[in-house]
Amino acid sequence: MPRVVFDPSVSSIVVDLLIEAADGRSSLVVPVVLDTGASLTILATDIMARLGYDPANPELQRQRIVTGSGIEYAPRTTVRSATAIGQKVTNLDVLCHDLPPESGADGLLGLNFFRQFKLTLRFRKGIIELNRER
Amino acid sequence: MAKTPLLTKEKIKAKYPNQWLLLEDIELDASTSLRRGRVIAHSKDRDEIHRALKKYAGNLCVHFTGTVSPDTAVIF
Repeated sequence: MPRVVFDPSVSSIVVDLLIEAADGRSSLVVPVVLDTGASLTILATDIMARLGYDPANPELQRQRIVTGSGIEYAPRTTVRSATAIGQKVTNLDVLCHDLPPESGADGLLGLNFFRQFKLTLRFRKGIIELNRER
Repeated sequence: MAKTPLLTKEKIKAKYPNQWLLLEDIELDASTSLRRGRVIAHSKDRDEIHRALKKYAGNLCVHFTGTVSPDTAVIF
């Protein structure tokens, strides 16, 4: 059963996310905040560029996003695959948007990653479990 | 140039506290969490690590060994 242990006292839960490059020849693991308040997964523009997804491409859809500080627009694209907490999602939509370095992360793992799984957060024990629903 | 040693995540955190790291030769566990790797760049500045990403090919890992300050609340 895929599970990640975390410190329940931390300000936010950070997990490793493995993203496959656009050409399928390499991958990059980055720290992301588990965020069930985010509709979509978000990754830093530098990370997306390194993986060959070209966030500066003017043909990418610009997604309207509501943040805690207002309305913003960010390029939206699809990554070949993303894997976290032992589970892989193919063709995952991602917004290219930068979080401040103080977040300790390069993005957010949002609801569109979790929708096909059963996500269990055991705060008292500091355990995250992610399983496919039957 | 000689390669840096392959280190476990725990040893990496002890050797490079509160830093952003770029690692190669990474090994993940069954839960996709970093188990060990070889540090090829480290900095207190995340932007430096993002710039270093452009110099290396292959399978890499960006890792932060710090935590958000306990007196800071996080909302996105």
